[in-house]
Amino acid sequence: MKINDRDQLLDEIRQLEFMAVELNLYLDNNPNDQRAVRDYNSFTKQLMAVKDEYQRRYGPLSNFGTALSQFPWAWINDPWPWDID
Amino acid sequence: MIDVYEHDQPISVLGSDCIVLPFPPNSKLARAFFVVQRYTTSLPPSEALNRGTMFPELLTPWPSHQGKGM
Repeated sequence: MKINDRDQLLDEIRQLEFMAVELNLYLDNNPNDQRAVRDYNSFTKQLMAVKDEYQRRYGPLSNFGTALSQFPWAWINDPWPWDID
Repeated sequence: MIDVYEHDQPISVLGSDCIVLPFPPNSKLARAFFVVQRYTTSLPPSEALNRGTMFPELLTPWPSHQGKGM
C-alpha cells in the first residue's frame, strides 16, 4: 500500500521510465520492430503525463529544460525528488 | 580466410614474465553466438522494475533470489 499520492506518482514515474529505458535498449538493436516502437511511444506518453501531473502538484523533478517552474522558483523547495522515501 | 594467430609459439604477455602455453594445432578463436531476441510480451511496469527486466524471456534470477523481492 502506498503512503500517499506523491509516493505513488513517483513510483509510477520510476516504473514508466524503466519501461522506456528497456524498450530504448531493445529498439537500439531492433529499430524496425513496430510493436516495440508503438509500446515505447505509449509508455513515453504515459510517463510524460504522470510527470506533468507530479510536477504540477509537487514541483519540478529536474532543474533545467525539462519542466516549467511555478513562481517563485520551485527547484529550491524541499524535498527534492531523490530525498523522498 | 585470415589466420595470423600463432598457435604453436609460447606467448609472453606484454610487460610480465607470464608465459601462455601454446594451444593445440588448428585451435579456433572464441566465437559468441546468441539467439536474436523477439519482442512478444512484457511484464507489467511494477513487476518489471522489481525484477530488473521487462522481458520475461530475459528473466533469469539467481536461485538465492527466487521468491524474494516480489
